[in-house]
Amino acid sequence: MSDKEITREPLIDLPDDRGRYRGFGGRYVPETVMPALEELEAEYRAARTDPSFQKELTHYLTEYVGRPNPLYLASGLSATLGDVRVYLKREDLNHTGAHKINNTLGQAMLARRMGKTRVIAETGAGQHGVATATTAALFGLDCTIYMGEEDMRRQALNVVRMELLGAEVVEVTSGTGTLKDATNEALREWVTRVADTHYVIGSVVGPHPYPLMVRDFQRVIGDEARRQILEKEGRLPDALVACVGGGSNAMGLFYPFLSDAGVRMIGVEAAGHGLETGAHAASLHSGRPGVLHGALSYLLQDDDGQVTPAYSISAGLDYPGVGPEHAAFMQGGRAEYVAVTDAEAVGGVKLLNRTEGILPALETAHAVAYLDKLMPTLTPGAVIVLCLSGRGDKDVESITAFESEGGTANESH
Amino acid sequence: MNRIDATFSNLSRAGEKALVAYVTAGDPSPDLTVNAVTALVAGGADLVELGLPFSDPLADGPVIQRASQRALTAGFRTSEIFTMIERARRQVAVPLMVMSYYNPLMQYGIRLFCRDLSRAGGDGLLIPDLPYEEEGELREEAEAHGLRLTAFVAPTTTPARLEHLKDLEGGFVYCVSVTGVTGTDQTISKRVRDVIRWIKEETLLPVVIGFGVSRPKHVAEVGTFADGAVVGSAFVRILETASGESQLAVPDEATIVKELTQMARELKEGFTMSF
Repeated sequence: MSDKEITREPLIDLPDDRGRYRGFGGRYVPETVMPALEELEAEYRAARTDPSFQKELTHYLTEYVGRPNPLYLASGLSATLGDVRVYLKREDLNHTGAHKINNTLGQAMLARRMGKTRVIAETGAGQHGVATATTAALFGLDCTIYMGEEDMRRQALNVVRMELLGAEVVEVTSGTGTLKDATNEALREWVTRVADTHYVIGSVVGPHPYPLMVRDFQRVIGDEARRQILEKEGRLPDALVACVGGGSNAMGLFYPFLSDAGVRMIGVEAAGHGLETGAHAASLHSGRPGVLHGALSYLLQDDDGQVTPAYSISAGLDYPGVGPEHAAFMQGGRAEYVAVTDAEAVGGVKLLNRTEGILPALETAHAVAYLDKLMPTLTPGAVIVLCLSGRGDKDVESITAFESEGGTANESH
Repeated sequence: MNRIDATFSNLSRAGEKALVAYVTAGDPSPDLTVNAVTALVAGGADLVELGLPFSDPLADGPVIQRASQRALTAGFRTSEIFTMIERARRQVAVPLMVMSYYNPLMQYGIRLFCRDLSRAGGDGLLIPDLPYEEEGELREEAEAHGLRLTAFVAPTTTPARLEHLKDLEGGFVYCVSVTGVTGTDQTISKRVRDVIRWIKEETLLPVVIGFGVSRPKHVAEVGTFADGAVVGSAFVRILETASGESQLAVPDEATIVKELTQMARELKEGFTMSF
């Protein structure tokens, strides 16, 4: 991107009126969907300040999703790591087993408010697809989910769950048959049916207002965590840790701490087989600015701007782009972005199982696996909040396959 | 005068409508792309769009998606588009445009891309994922290099989103028909006619219809309310037979070139059919 596009507004004031985060973001979509984005933005801004909408959202988050979920002091994990207190924000205990439902609930309510009778969504790991199908069932909306053929194979359990919920799952065979192609297909479908259909984007990506809206629906993670840690520790944490694919659980945790200057924010991307191999999904770490799926952000691409396939053992992180607000956080030096490999992530799964009796999603396990590397940079007695974004039942087969193909979990403990 | 503006002004004077033909650059090879341009113009195409392939063409249907993928698999590089246009320019006088997505242009460099396109003999650009709110830098550079950047309008476009058309100084307006103007859904056809009427209230620029136009009878209908029709997939399907991906036997290049010319001729004649 050119220098004149990079701006220096305070991060807390973003995005600007054009949906820009210091130059990142925006709306790079066909004219066909622009009116729908304008309608969505207007409706969302109204809902945001509408007490009855917020009251109903809180009602469902409490009674249906099961919020607030615990901020759990993981003593066993902490003791293994050293002189540190690691708290786990238990998004895995939400209904449907991940943070995704915080967002799909809000968007399904918006769809209903706009008079749309149908929702569509893309999904990678299937968690967002399940969460969308769940809230569609809850509110009586028709639901179609686009999923790459490769992901349908890796996440067969979630395909069955979506179908049980009454959703139609459409297999996407174009391109690499993964999340990016499912997103292309969902956008194409939306172009042909904007009148009755709302597109539920699952992360802080896509054209404005999606990154803003998804952040707002996910910030409940950080709002609760901030309150809970102050109750339990009487102080703010030293660092926040979360995995980053598109970046919604990380943004949800980070955003409420944005003005707390002493709190480090660490986003963990997927290094796949290793950054040096090229087979990874670390867009912030190894990509450069580019436009995909309606927004300007960091992107894995070749010299000509052709998007290069991402790779990760975790279907939910297997995405070549990342949310524009993370790009702004990185460029502004507010958050740090690192990457861990497949083997390290599988090690993270095992570590948390053995020390705490908790089976995390492979996505989440990337954050768990980074703790060991984080330790030397912390002062003794440091307090960490890690977003345990989802549970790992869906990944058991992937882990078995990883090991039967000769992979060895990289376990430091 | 920009060739696009001159072409539409000549057509209008002659009482004719424009056939805008699209093919994907580099599918199946740069040589055949250049020959395809010549063949389309021989059949009566008034403007030609060359698609610069992108890995994630979200505004395109399956036929053009496959063509883009074939071109990329065959090793297409952005800089080749200028060579193809340069070669085609030596053989045809019609306006030549590049249709692509924003990212390949951004990575090449917006200014550099406009400069090289202009030098190669290109006349304009169509970038469907760049709504007018985002086009600032590209419009500036395109105009500075004598290129026309096409404005897109859709059946979903609201009247407020048409006001910017007033400021356009040349080129044409591309009106997208979501599910095909001649689809079974007659209300869509009606909506497209409404939108074109609104466009004409904002600007005197010519309006062409694209997406879902593939037969002479579609062209005949489009000709009753617009200034031209864009046909893409129908030509790309002919070129697809060269890839051996279809069930049919692979035809030789001469046959493909002949079929393209014939298809262009039938479509151009469609404008004179009664609807």
